[in-house]
Amino acid sequence: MPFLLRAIRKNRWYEKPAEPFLASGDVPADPLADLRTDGNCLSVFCIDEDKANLERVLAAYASNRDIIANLDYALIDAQLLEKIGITCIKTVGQLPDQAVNNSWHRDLTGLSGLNLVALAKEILTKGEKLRVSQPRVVELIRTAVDSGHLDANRITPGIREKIKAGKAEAS
Amino acid sequence: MNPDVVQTALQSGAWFGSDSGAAIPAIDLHSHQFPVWARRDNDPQTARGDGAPFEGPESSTADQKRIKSLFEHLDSTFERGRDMRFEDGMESEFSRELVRLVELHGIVALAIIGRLIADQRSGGEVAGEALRWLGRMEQSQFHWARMRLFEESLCSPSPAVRDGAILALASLNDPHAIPYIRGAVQQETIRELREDMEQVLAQLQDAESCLSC
Repeated sequence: MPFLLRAIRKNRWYEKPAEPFLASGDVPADPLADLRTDGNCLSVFCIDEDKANLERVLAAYASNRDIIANLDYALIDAQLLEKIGITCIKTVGQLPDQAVNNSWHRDLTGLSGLNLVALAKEILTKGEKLRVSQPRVVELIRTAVDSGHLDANRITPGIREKIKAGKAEAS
Repeated sequence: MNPDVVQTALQSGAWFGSDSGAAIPAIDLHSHQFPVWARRDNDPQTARGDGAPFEGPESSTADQKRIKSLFEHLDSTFERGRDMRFEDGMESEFSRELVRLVELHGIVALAIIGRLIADQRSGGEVAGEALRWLGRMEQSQFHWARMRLFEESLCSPSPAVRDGAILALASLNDPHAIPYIRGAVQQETIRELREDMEQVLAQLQDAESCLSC
């Protein structure tokens, strides 16, 4: 089964001992900060079952930010969406990699508050929360540029300069 | 601004004013926090400093006013940060202002930020964001002062601060932090955070190996 990827900040999702303010089955509020919707939609990426496209998606996402930094993300089984009644549709993304935009970008649509809480609960209990270190992010972007996956002209200027500077140092 | 002067002003507590002074715990200048930071950056010949407290001159009223003003500015910047949503890799009004103030006021700003973080007045999320951005500043800027702040923040009761500290130390990529991170790994009770610390530990051990090559 494919996975869905959502960029997060890992510390909002830490598994802590039961918080006294939480009723059984409830979720803490902090993770919801990573599920910010726009028009009741949430942007995610579809990751192949064998994760063959994972690094390409990560590179595209990381290259679209202001600066090079660690990249935290959550992966959940795409099938879980059906269980919690969330609709997932294919839409065109806005990253500097057209394959990522056209093939793997998805929107979770028509989201309600309860949907978001249910999604947060699935990510908290069944999702993988992972971190790509800053040096690894540099490697991923550099590889994606070298392989022609990333449109260098669409990478954030600051990041483009860093990647260029790194290449100049290496050569 | 002379850090000795700042130290004296911090020690006296006079610049906090009567309204806020009571709410801010006194800085123990013999804990090697602020004075050692200053010494490390101001004296490149003593790369690590010797830990001796400064014996600075009395601060002037003008310096005290400037420090108080900077404290209030940073405090309100942190306070505004509470209403912001931070994302890794994305600048914000908070990050731009924080970096600007540190570039402008240097060690004094860092000392105040260290205190705001330790006091947890604005919550772990804002403090963690501040540490991330301090870690990303140009390598030569107040390296040891920042290092000290990050190492101490690994012991924060807030997981978000500890996470910000480990990311900041990853950005500095200085093997000096290795024993501090080892200690933090042993103390860490949150599995995911412990794993992230171990990842940074491995990164710094690689950096250390490269240095000795």
